[in-house]
Amino acid sequence: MASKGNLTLKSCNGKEFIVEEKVAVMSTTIKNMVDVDDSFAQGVIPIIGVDGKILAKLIEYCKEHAEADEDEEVKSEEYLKKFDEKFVDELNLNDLYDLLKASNYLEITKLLNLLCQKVASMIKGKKPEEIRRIFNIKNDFTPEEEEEINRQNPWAF
Amino acid sequence: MAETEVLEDYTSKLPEHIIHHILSFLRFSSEAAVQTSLLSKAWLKACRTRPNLSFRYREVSPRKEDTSIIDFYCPEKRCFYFIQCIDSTLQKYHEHKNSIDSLELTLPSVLQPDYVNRWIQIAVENGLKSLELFMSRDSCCSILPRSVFEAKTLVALRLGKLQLKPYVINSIRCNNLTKLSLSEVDLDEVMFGRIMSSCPLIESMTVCCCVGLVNIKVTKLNKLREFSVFQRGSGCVDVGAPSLEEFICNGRRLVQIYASKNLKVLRLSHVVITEEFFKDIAEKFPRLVKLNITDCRDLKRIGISSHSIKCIHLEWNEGLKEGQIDVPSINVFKYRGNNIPRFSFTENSFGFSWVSEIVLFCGMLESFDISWFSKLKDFLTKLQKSQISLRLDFSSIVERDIVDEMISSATIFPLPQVKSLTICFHGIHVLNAADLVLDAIFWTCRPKTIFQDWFQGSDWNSTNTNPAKVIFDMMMFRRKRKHIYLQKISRFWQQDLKDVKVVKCKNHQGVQLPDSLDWNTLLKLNAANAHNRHVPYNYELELEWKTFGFGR
Repeated sequence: MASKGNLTLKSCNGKEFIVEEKVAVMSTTIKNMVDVDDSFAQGVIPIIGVDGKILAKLIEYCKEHAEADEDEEVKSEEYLKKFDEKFVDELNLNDLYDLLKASNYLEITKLLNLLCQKVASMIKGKKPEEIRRIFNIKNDFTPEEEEEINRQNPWAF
Repeated sequence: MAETEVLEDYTSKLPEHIIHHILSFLRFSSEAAVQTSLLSKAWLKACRTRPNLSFRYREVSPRKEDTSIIDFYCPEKRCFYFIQCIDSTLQKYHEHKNSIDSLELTLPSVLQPDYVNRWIQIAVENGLKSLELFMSRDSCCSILPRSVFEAKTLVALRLGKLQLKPYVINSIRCNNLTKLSLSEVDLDEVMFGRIMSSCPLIESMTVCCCVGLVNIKVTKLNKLREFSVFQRGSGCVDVGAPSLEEFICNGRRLVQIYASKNLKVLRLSHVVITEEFFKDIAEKFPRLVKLNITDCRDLKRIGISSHSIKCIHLEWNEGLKEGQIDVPSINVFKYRGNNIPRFSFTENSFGFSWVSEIVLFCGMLESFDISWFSKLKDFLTKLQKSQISLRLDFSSIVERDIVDEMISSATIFPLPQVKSLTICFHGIHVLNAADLVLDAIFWTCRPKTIFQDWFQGSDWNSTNTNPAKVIFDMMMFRRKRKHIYLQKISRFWQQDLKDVKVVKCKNHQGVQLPDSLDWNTLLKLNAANAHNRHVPYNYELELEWKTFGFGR
């Protein structure tokens, strides 16, 4: 049972995490649940479709960012930037994908931004074949279709 | 083929708005956006419905593979295709009622305003929130199309290289604007005032190089939180905004800030202010946390007394003579400059650990003599309660007779401790520059680590005139002496030096290198790491001094 000011989050595979409320409400979805229904604040909040490993990652991220929000340390900006860099650098493709979905569902805007930016940086400056290889994207165009798209945008504005 | 070898396509299963979100980070590179549309059908669809649109007209030379398209070189044709591209794209959005969140247009100056008006109207119908409108780099200022300020749905607006006419300002309908940025926009004070009174919800505003604005007066914006002014020429900036949290002003302007009790960050560069400005800073800005002042020439003395400030950053090319700092909550104190002002810090005010970062460009303004190093020592002694990181950029050498005079006058202990010292040489390739500098530094302070950009200018890496090598050899000499007895170099500070370690650092984590390391091995080590450019290693010397500076 979580003590006052703490919330219990339960992953889809049954792992429970006790986190401070200010950490949990980094997620707009959780914030709305707690605001609307008081019973969530006391009981266990099920996080549907997110397993323990990914939930732990989410909490790790939210902890750093929630704490930094509250106390106005001057150096926090730089520190958070470094933390973010390290956080996304250590993710494999599977985790990146799962975190994208989870942060989207839980509406953790800052994290969603960070992850999308990471994916964008992996795309930038690469040829389609390279991008497909990185993300295992299957080319489902026929050569004719590909030709047609190429014809439609010869000018990159 | 075995099932297991089929790897999953992660991206095509993502919700489309996530792909839109990813694409929004690629909007500055339209080539990337085109590349992504070729990935798969899911990506193509996402690309064609993305809510963040960007069209930039570039007058650049084409990439090699584009040379087959001869039209690329022809401005008229380019312009024609540019218009066609925007027209057809927006037409599709219009037909399918796809929402448009943001539109960025960088336009050639020959473009008729009618086109822009039409595009903006379509975008507004599709819910446009953010508009950026610029003329391309080599174009001249064009007249702002009237549809811009009539766009009711706008919350963010950035304009560049445009001229405002009174008739545009007379019908402002974008009353929900929260962000406004004007750069190189030609408008006068009346028009500016008109925009502010029509858009009272503005929270963030930037004014940059707007020639017509001599005096900038901001009083009606009760929600304004961030305000940045970058203006050339003279004039004044008067701000009175109760919600203002961050104010940045760069330019030779008279600055007045009043009724802004929520101000947290204040950055002033080149502005015309006097000591008077800081007199009641604690009362005027009771929540101020960060204060940056750069090159305010008229300010010779500065007195800062505040309980809220945590970070002070002073940067002066010349002219700052004296600083009185009475800031008990300080976390970070930074000073960069050509000279060493007389600083005083209120005694006992710093009960907890804080950091000071000092960068001095030495030998540019003041020539080196014994009193220069005494002044430096005095400055460092006053910062003794902080963790000092000191960077000295030498652009002229320290003369031998000055160093001899320093040594003969004996070191007065205790010497201030410096947590990390960085030494840089600019255009000095003289062998004895480095060893005299080192003598002078050790007469002044006792650094715990010395960092240098050892490998800068790789062509003279191995020569004997490389100051880095000189410093390295001098510092390592002590260790070598255990093995070979060399009388050649003996320095007054060497008897105080207990040990020297060479540490290879990466991301603030260090590995000690073997005792026997010599310069050539270090060069080889670095060369071996050179391919790893993302996370380069730094090499530091860690110094251990006997009885840190107390008594002999």
